[in-house]
Amino acid sequence: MAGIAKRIEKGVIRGKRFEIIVDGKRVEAYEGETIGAAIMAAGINTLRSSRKKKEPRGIYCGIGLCQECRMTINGIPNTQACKTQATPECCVESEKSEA
Amino acid sequence: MGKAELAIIGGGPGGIATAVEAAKQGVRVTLLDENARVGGQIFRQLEKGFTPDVPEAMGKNFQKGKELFKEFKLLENKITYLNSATVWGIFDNNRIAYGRNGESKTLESERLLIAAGAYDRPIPFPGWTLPGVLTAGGAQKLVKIDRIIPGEKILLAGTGPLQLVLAHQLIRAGANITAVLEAGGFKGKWLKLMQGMWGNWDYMGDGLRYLRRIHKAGIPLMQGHMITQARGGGRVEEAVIAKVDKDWRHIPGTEQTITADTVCLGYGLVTSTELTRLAECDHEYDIGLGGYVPVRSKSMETTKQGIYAVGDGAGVAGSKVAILEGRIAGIAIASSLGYVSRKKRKSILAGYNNSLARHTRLRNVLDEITRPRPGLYELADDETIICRCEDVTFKDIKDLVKKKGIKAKDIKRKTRIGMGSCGGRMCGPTIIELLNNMNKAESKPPAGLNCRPPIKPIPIGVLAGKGDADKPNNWGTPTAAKHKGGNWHGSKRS
Amino acid sequence: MVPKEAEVVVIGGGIVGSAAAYFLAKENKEVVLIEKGHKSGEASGGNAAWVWSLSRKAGIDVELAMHSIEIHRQLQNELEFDFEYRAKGGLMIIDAENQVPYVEAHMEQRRKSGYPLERIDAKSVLEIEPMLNKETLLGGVWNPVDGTTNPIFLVISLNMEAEKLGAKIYHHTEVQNIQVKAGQVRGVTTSQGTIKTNCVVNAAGSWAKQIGEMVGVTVPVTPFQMAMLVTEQLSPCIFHPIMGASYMVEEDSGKKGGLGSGLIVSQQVSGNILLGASWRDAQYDKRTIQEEIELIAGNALKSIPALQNIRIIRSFANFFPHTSDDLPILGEVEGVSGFIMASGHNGHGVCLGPGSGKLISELICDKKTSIPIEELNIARFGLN
Repeated sequence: MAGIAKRIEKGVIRGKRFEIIVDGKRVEAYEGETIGAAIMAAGINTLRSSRKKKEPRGIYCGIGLCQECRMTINGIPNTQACKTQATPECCVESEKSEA
Repeated sequence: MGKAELAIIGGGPGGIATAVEAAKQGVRVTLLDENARVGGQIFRQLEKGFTPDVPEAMGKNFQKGKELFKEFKLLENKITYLNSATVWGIFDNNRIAYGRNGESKTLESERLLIAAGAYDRPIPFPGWTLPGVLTAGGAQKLVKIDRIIPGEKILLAGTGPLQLVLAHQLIRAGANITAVLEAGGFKGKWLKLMQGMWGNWDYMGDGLRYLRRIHKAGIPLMQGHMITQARGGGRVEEAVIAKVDKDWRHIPGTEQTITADTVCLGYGLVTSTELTRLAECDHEYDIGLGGYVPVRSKSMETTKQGIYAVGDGAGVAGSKVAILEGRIAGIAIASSLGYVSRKKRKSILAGYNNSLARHTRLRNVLDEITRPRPGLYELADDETIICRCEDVTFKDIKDLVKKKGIKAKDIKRKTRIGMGSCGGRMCGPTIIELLNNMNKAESKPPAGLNCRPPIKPIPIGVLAGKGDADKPNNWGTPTAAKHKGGNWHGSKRS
Repeated sequence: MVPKEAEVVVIGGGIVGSAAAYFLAKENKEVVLIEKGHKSGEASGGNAAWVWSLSRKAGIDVELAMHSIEIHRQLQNELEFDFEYRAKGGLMIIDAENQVPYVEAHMEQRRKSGYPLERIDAKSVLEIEPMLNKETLLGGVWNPVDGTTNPIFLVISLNMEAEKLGAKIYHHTEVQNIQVKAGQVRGVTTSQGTIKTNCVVNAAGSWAKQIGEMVGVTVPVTPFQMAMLVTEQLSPCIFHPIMGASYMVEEDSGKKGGLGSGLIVSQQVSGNILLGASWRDAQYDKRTIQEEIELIAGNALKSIPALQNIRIIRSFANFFPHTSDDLPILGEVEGVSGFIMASGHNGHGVCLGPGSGKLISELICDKKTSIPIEELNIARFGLN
């Protein structure tokens, strides 16, 4: 279901554009965005699976408290996507942070 | 080990206002904030890389914030400002442990001020864990800071003025909002509202502006309505909404299914009291103020001498109150350290206290309208997740919460609720409310879940003083190790 | 309200008391279990969660452990609630030369007593635990019977089964007084009423001393505070309970003041890694302090460098009922008929608890225990 979230064009001048890699796919991102935002704008909804029921989870609180946005970023598991700034070519993997 | 006269935890309006007032009087202030830039939630600043093309793009509240930031900037040589500092513990009433630049550091201070803010109240209902269901605060951050509209058909469900602000920001950004659901309602309360608004004309002006914009955009503002279900495969696709009575209990037969791919939940805020509870300050409980609130004197001091608390983290009341409380605390602290005479303190505080009383009047009225009613916590069905981290469902806890004398910690031990990475922030408020409702015989609010440091997750490397936050560690996935088979019986005597 | 009468009143709802209540209920005894705190008690509610015998000394120490491990295995089949007992073997790692003499001495003792351990080289250790620090590892000791469990689930499970069998269990209920007349226990007064009984089991762990005072018995058990850290959930990466041999060298250090520490690491079924431990004399203070949190993190990082970016989500501390000879106190107290000690398990309560519960039940029902426990009687301290 691509393209549900979208970037706002008016009212802001974006910084540099680059790409990040999410589960092997190249995804557009801009300087100043969090990985969570870039992922949302790419239409990716599920960031991980819940612990026991393996249900899909995405961004919920958006401010770094709920821990639902944990992904493996540049090899480090349990990294919060909503708090981590997107950097060029950073490697993001979903669903790998749970036991 | 760093030393300060006043250490302030939290760089939102409350923390900055305290810093400004205290530093003006000569106090040696250190301000710690976990973000790269001050502002907290409401005054959150854009990240590097974004430039607002018009100042108004950031909203009216932000302009107010700018004035405060200007004062802060003027005092920058007098305030030690530690950004990207995550406070993880308070020890012995005067020592703060925080992680910064990959290391754990210590700051000893004669006075502590905690302005930890608040966060959106988690409300469990069927489907609330689906991707696409966000908090209003999270949606606001996406719109204001990341400059993203979270969806194409957005449903706002909640209560109170914060939702109206979000709606206004979304409309201005070009978003498509299907409806705004207000659980309470202003019907019959206009007179009360007027009384509260008296003298607070700017609030009233803002409120009317937001309502008008929503109306102009043709978005239905449905009073006395709540979301009761979110449904979808992998993401929200539709929502069930219903009319509710004055206790926010849904009226059977009034359900409607509406298409939505995003739901923003704004059912009030919960105070972040991890630090005040860790410091063993006394707390009272009031759901209208955000749950646990530290008991404070008029100068904002908690029951632990030398520890003060202001802002939403000490009782949800908005940024204006946070700023006033911060200023009051700043003067009171400066006075307690000998920088301000009693006479001067009295005269400065008189002005601030008057403003505070005025704002409190309005808050009280708004709280009555938006105060959570019992129906808010009756939405869950058996399968609804209560603890998101550990996947504990309502079925797992519904019988336990009814048991006489049971405490939150018993439920935690049996079901693992509260043992996840979020530290009980997402499930704690729910468990407390359920216990409060079910065990009405108890005269005081139930004891919450424990609070042990670190109060936010901290990497082992940082705690060990060998953190390297910028250099990623290639963890890798260990291949299945070769086990030596276990033997149940062990070696026998030879 | 508690019942007016019971055949046995067990004081303390941790693992020892809960196991005792369960086994007694199985023997159709009318049991009442009184716990002053939350479900699963105090020390049993927060500990390393190890079912461990590797470092148990030759003699009654290891005998108790082996007996109890067998009970853990049996309980896994008997109890309905899965308490996550996994016994794939335990490991002690040697990473400094000064640890070697301690390890060798221990192994020799164990070999002589008929419970040998296996010495393995560094390469073999890394094969089964690849995350360990290759640079510092010198070798290890392997014990196939050891493992981990979920003591909270185990205690709650024991409670549930005991209740099904007729036991009555009360939490958040304090014992205030014990009535003794003519050298015989007559009753127990709690915050919820008085129970007439001729048999009381003191399974009050770190509060065994206070219970003893109620009957004029000096119980030499003191609280020994230990702290641990919990990481967030990870895919399986640590496969066995791992103890640093430095533990054997350091264990005496904190007991006379100051902060002691030794390495213990294990990963729970939930995926959280438990790291420990530090100890200090903190009486009944459950708070964790900055020094110990940073110390445990530092020790863990030295042994497992890959933990660098793994986050700690909380710490906890608990009191472990300490005795001077590191052995529990089991058995009836001479001079106070019906007052049965079942406390002082030091830091080994999780492993020894089920076994102690069974032995106490045997003692009460048959007067005979499956392994001799006379040497564990309180009389050995010569205080009463």
